[in-house]
Amino acid sequence: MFADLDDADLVVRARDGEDVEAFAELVHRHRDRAYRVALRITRHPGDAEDVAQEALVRAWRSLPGFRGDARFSTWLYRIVTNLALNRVERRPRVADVELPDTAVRSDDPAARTEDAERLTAALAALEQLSPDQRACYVLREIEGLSYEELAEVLETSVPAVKSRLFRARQELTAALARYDAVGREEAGT
Amino acid sequence: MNDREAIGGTRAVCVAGVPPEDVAAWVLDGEESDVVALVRHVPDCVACRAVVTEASASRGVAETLRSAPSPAAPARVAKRAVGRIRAETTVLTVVRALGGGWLRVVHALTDYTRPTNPARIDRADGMVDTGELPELDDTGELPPGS
Repeated sequence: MFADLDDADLVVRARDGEDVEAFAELVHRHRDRAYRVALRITRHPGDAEDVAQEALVRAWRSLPGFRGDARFSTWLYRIVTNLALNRVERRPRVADVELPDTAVRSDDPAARTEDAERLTAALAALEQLSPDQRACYVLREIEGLSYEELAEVLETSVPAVKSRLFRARQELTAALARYDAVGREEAGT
Repeated sequence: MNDREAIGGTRAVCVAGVPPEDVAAWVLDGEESDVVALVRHVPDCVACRAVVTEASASRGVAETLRSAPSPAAPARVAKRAVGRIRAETTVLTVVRALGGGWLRVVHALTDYTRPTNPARIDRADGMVDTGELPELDDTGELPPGS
């Protein structure tokens, strides 16, 4: 019924007509994105579920105030990111860190194992970033937001985004370089 | 020791004052700097060229992280969210349909429970009417005075 409508049309229907079904379509389109970002920031599947669900409900409640200057997805990112950062701030470090499935990038089992180990190392390094840096990095590198969108989502300036992203990239690169160095040493022994 | 040294990055500082984050954003994401035209500046600047080299290494990290399986939200996330939204909307609709009437309903309910409610005590004999039916006596008649 709503498949042909873009997000902006659905927002108008949901907001002005208070059409729950139009908003339900938005929920179905964006739930994975909301969950993915929440999971990358909180690093906890249960928290990510709560955050995604709460963000979608809050988006509905706040819809009358959404003027449509930004894309709906950007606006939702902002709600998700704020809730996820609040959640991370409120809780102690969690033990059950999400671990990735094996990333299949090669037919060679040895190369596949190596890829998976490197990915695990990269995710562990991502975990070590501050929540603000992690949010910034994930939204840029995984979700592909522009700098302007990042500034809007993170409620900061573009120069601050550049700085946060720069540091996050530096720390991740250094962590992976350490991992690669250890791997080479082990291979040489 | 500046920030770059603290993190273990490049030690040279750009003479034009271009922050390293501007150079990294330019080389990785095509973001222009407000300070200078980087396309002309970087080739001649030792410090900025070093930042370019360092920043380029982060491409591999991002690629590795992007190779992680993209987790889908469990179906219950959308189901619960939409369920909550529908429930809230239903309540709002009912309240609006009642208009000001819902206030009278609420007041009537709360008034009835008040001990000062005249409906409960306004009996000629001064007894309190609790609203309960009187018990019948053994003959099936109402007891006198009830």
